[in-house]
Amino acid sequence: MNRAPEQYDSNAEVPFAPARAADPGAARPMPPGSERAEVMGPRDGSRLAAAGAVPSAEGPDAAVPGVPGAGDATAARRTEVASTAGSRAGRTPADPTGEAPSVPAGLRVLGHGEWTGAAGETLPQVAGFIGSAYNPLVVEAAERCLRGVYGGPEAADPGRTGGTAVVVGSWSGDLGTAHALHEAVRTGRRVQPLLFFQSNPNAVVGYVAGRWALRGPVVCLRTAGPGPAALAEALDAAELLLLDGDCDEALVIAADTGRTPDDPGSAIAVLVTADDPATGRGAP
Amino acid sequence: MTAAVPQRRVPVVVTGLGVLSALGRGPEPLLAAAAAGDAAFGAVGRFDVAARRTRRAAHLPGPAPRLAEALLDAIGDALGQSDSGTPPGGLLLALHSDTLTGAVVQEVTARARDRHGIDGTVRTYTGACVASSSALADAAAAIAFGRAERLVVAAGYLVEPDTFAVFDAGGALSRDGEVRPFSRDRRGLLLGDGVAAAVLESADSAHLRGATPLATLAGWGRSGDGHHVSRPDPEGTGLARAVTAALTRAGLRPDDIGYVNANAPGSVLGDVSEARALRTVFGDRLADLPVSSTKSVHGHALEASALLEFVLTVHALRSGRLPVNAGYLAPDAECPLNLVLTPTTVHPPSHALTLNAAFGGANTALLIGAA
Repeated sequence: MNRAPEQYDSNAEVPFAPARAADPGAARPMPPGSERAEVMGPRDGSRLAAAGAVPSAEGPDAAVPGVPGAGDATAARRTEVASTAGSRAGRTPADPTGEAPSVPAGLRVLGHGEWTGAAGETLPQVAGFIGSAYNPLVVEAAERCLRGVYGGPEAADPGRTGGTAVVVGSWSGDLGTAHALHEAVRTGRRVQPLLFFQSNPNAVVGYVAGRWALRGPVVCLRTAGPGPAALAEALDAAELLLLDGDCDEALVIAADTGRTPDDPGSAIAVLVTADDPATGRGAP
Repeated sequence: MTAAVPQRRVPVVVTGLGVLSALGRGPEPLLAAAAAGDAAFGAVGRFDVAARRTRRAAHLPGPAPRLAEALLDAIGDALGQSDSGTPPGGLLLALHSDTLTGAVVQEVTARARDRHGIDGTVRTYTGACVASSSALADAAAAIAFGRAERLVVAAGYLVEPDTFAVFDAGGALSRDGEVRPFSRDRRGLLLGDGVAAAVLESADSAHLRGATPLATLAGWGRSGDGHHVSRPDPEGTGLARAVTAALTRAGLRPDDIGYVNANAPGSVLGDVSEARALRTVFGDRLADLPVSSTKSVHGHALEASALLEFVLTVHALRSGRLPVNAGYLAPDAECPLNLVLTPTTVHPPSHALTLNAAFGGANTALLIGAA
């Protein structure tokens, strides 16, 4: 699937939602992240060093991540369509000096990429997705990872991508979309039809998978914690998929929208395979 | 192109099921409606739909129950049937991802721990229409590889205004107020309440506890289309791969399958894609393989639908009463299937499949065997 030209004016379309004072999530106490036990993980107990990262006492729903506040001109500018479709092709794939994140025993890293918004970078918009930073975050991390591995979709090896799963973990979820939708319904405004296509987290995975012809399983998780904890949980799920045999490789993405309007959030993507000498799987 | 699917290592059985649907609590009213083909759709009375083009869904009468409460009831019902002595080792949830998800997860986790001793992992799947089937497949894999003895999978979606509005805006809801899977003139899906739970465990664990398995989860498969944001691969090749993986894992052939609970939400493109996937796997055998989509009766419960359909498929296998594909008007040449169109009781088949497909090209197949 070729990348479609930008066809939507996201600023014109999106009913930006102000933070809701009565947001039911705002009162949410600490999620059960820091006490997560590992039923599904390998029994050797090998974990990410950072997997025990303790989330903030406020849940991710407390702010309106990825959605600028009404009238916030600075924030509004950040969500403008920030690049043309073609600009992605010239983007540096992954920070070549960046260290790969550590992964649980049984997995081996084949590539990685992340988007942190460092150095004033603007998050590229994704055709067909509006408003929320969540979907552009997932796409950008995936692009940086896969470009680092393959160079570009045209150069990707279909023998590998055909057996590549996509597992996305997110603590925040796509709250930008959820809030935009909720506000439109609450205030009786017209609901943007485009929100339908992004009303679940699988849709953006379909975008990435279509672009890179990834044909393994698609799994989306709402994780118990953000950042490293989200990645750890998604890697756990990927490790089981690889062991179980429904894929040979897995593109594992952790994406969390930011907690304030000025913070679009961050995302990391890691391409992993099974590292199991006993079965020979995971051999280069 | 995908890895060789290893045979499962430890047999996985289902020992408890709990369900709440628009038909009420417990499996009986749901099974009766499915066996008779009585669709549960009616005018939405739970919230204002005056501004919507479609105004029907399958929901319980009166105000919506609290989702966390309904999930805990379903978990309790499933564990009750499972004759619990030992607390399960974890809870896998499938929920719609929205502003309330975190709070629901937290409440269910805490109360399931207090009430049922379910300690440890809560993993929450939010992957749309394959969320709960993915959770079932992962739970089965964890048990098959000896990483868990006994797990609870629970999923819930209750029809609410936000999703209703966005599905309406997206043109996904059936404009004629009925769901007509695989039928000519099908117009789309309708939403439905669904909350369900299943207890999965190793056959040894069930045996040692003296629990009676309801069925085996003999195989499972997951795949992606790698095709499009929302449209399925028109040829259904991804779904066919998921079915093949499930058959391989179970060590079975297509001829061993006696009933297919289809995903078919009544959508124009998705139903054709699924029919082609079935053709790819079953070939001429399709002519006498009973197929139905129970979304025509209970509606689309999104993240919970696959678990609702799993419950129905287990019971169809046990009773031989096949769910009816309701809402059917006339054949669609693109969907040449042996649909269950009238109440049908057969000799209980040895194995059945339940299929699901979602946005993002995600596909799952669960293969259920007689206990």
